[in-house]
Amino acid sequence: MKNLDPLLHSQLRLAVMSVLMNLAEADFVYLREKTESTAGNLSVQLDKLATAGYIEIEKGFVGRKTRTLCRITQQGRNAFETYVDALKSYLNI
Amino acid sequence: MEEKRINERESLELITRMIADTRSRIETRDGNIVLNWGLLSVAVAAIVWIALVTTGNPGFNGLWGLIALGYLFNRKEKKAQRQKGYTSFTDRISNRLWIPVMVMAVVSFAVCAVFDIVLEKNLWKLMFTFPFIFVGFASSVQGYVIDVKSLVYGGMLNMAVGIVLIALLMEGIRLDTVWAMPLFIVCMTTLMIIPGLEMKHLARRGHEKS
Repeated sequence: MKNLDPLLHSQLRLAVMSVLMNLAEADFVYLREKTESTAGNLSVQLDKLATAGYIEIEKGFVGRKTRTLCRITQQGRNAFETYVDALKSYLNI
Repeated sequence: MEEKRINERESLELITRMIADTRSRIETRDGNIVLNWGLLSVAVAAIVWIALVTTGNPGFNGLWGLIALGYLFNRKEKKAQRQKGYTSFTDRISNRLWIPVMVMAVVSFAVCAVFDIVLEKNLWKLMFTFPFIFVGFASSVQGYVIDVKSLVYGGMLNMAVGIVLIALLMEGIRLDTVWAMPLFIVCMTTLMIIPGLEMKHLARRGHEKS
């Protein structure tokens, strides 16, 4: 039986990855709303995913406001697919 | 939602819920940008046509430059996309599809300018076929991507008209203002105004594509 990726086997990180799998990119505010998380917690988890190379984070400005854009990398996509395969084997699906 | 460990079944439920929730957000655009570009193109063409017919002064062709005002629509669309907080794959294709069209517009303009200045050959009539062929092609592809039939057929019709116009030019037939400009107006109506209205109608009905 395959091991579940510990980085993805967490509620908030998995939610973020599931959202990003479906979109070309999403900003921080959108992810916070979708995952119903706090800004601080989301920020920490996004950094962990970025450090692992699963997502790319692009920080920029729109007028005077900062805007953080996140997008999944190919490595992240592969990891997510492997994670789902592992889940299926655990659940005998 | 917190950073907590979950069991396998909860993981699968979470993935399913997030994916389902995101899918419903990948909707057809509201059609405003297509409609606005269409109305602008038709309005500019009508102004140029009336000016040319009434004065006979070819200098009024410079009024075509007013089409550049459409940049404001693109800025508004970009702002609207920023506000929704995400870019879907459909959005990305729809946005990037127009980059080669813009590049080809610049290249076509440069080629005509070089022929005019260096070789003293007037190829500017070829620019008239540009919106039919290149914009028609991009619109047709976009129609397939976002599943809007009038964009697909409007694009195809315009490409066909563009090819006919090139054939006429190659045969030395003059694109007379009297019929070429009304043709342009009719074609831009089929290419942008009708699809823009269809997209608005679909958006109101909650047309979705994932």
